[in-house]
Amino acid sequence: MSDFRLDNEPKIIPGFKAPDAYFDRFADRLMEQLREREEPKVIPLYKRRPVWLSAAASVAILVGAGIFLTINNRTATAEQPDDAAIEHYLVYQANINSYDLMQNLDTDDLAEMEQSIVVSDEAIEEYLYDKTIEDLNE
Amino acid sequence: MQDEKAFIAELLDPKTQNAAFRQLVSQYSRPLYSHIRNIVIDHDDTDDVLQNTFIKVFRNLQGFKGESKMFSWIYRIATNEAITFISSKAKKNSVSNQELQQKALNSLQADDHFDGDALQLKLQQAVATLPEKQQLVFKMKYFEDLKYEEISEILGTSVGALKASYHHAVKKIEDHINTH
Repeated sequence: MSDFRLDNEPKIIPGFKAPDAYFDRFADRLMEQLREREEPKVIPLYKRRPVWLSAAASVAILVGAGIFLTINNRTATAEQPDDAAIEHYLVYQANINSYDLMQNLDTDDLAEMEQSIVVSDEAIEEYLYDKTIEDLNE
Repeated sequence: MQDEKAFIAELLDPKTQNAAFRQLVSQYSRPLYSHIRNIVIDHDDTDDVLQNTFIKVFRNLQGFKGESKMFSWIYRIATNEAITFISSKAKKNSVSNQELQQKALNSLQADDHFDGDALQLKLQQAVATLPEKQQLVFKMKYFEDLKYEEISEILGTSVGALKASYHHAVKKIEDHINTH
């Protein structure tokens, strides 16, 4: 069997066909399409709202919402200092003496402090070892 | 050329525009249908592209300066519309243009609007393996019997390049058919 050569074959047509009466109706369909696409849209006057009015209304709503939210959040809540800051102040800056402390601590406070402050015998011995008799007499 | 100038004048005159445009549609609808169908394969897609082509022609009549023949200008619009359609459809389906064409050809045998035999189908499949531009050249020369000078005006490629492209296309098609 010889090889296929395009020039040796009778002309091969694509084989595509259009539906019956396609071309007869095509022009009418096309002109209808053109009429629909080229006709300007009619906008009824009574529905027309000026664009500037809608824009102004939108801006007013946004500004109002902004003002409302700002006022609500304005109540400044003072930051409460944490325990560490209070402690630091009492120890290094406050002008508080032992008498003042005694006046402000009740028996419950003292009982709580006794439980939380754990002093070992070793710590006491070390303290006494470091201190001379004269210091202890001060 | 004088006839064409007169015809263009009729197309631009609102009084004679509708009748002149219908005449244009009547003259070009069949050859453009074949041209577009060769590219997009499917009938319904061809119908869409053909309508878009004429709508574009109508809208751009004012801008047609007559520097090229009306024939070349209309064919150029049709070719671009068909290729744009293919590219857009391929993108929507996340496939390449060639894959889309292959898919269309695979369902061609069952298509009501195709009455080709096995050899015609084989030829279509062989052509679909060519690069896009080479396919166009082959289809316009072999299926549509356009002259090289006409194809040159439509595609903007030199006659020499078109001749070379066509002969390479024929060789590839023959090799494909002989090996499949």
